[in-house]
Amino acid sequence: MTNEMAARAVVGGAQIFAGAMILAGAFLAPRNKLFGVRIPAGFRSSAEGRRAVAAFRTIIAIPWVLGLAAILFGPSAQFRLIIVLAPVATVIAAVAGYATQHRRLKTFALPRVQTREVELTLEPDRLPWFMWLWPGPLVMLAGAARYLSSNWDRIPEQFPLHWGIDGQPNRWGVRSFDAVYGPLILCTEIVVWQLVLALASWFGARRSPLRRPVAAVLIAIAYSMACAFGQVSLHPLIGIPPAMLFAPIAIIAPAVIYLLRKTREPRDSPEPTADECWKRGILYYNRNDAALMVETREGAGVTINFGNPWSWAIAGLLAVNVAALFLFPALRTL
Amino acid sequence: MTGPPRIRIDLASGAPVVRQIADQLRVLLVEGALKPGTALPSVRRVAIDLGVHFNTVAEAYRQLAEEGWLDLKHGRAAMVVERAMPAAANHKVADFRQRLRQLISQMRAAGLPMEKIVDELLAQAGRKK
Repeated sequence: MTNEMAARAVVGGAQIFAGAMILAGAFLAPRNKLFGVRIPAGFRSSAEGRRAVAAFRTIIAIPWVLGLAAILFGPSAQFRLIIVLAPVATVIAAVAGYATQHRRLKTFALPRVQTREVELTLEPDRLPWFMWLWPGPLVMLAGAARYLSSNWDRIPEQFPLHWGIDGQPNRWGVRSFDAVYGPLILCTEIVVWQLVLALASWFGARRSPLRRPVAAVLIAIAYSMACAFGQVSLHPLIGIPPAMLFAPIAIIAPAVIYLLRKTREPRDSPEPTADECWKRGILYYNRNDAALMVETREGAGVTINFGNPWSWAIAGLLAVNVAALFLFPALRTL
Repeated sequence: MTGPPRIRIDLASGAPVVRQIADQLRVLLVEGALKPGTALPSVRRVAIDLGVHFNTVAEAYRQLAEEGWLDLKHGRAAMVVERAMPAAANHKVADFRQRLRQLISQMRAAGLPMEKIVDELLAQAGRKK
């Protein structure tokens, strides 16, 4: 198999996976919601419900299939352009399809939940055990930095920093501070951000059955990132077995499965978020809601309440991560 | 009552949320579901769980503290305190009588017979004994 064929196979597989995940999105949502709209029981199997899902699928299927055909059989000269346009077109179609169905289904929405209940439990709001694993990713990154520092002379003058979809290195770094430690510093910022999100999802969200799995996923992402960036950093010194490339996915997968199972479990009371505070069914903005994180209306997980002043702190931390790309020129090749 | 006490607010009721929270907490305090020495959940936790602003819950706690039910100290959980029952002033009794008449009228207008209303009042009185 030539490099080009391998590249087409890898990108084609990614296109199939991404499209399948988008199509599955409507089924990963809680059973009482469809396209971000609270629906009555049995609506999904009604004619209107089936029509909405079918229309959403049709809108996505066209760019998805055309993109896949272009990836597999398109002209070699345009391949770089195709691998950008195909997923972008699919995502744009998904967003447009979602917004259209969200608008259409509003007429079938259940009346807004007007009652809210809280248990005056006096139990302390203790963190789950796995949250105490938070230092792990930082220890992993510090360990990698320590190893690189003590073996500085063994680091090649030039080493790969980025690999193409055919598995071959296509960008190189030289033995300098930012090229060697840059990935670890960037990852440290990302990990700190994930840990802040995990704490926010625990202390800033309502006590619901989703709170625990969401925190688990965020901690797992922090471990996964530390694992991936640690491998990239140590690659010039130690050969990483190919199987280890799947380690980050293996870390996240159990937490995501746990979250999906919890999301689909029927629950007594829905989250008290007002419909008018959801912009296009995706963004939540409510200055009168003390929660920083609220459950998403589609898919699994939580999203930020942009009406809460602390949401700016989280956005600021993300901006710091992006700024790091400019502080360390070598990172721009990652 | 089984499990921890709960409060419920209804955004469609027309009554301000502050009053709903304060009224329900007062019911729990009067009935003894929240006993002296009990720490209430933090303002932040109750506000997040109810999906309302911090100030709304803080104001309800303040009202109850002014009535002598709660002790609020900065940096510490709101505590239920022993409250001496004051002698009811005449104007309070008159106000209560007026509100009770209005409530009974509303219940009768809603179709509840007088016997049923009396039964309800006796049942409530029995709960206090």
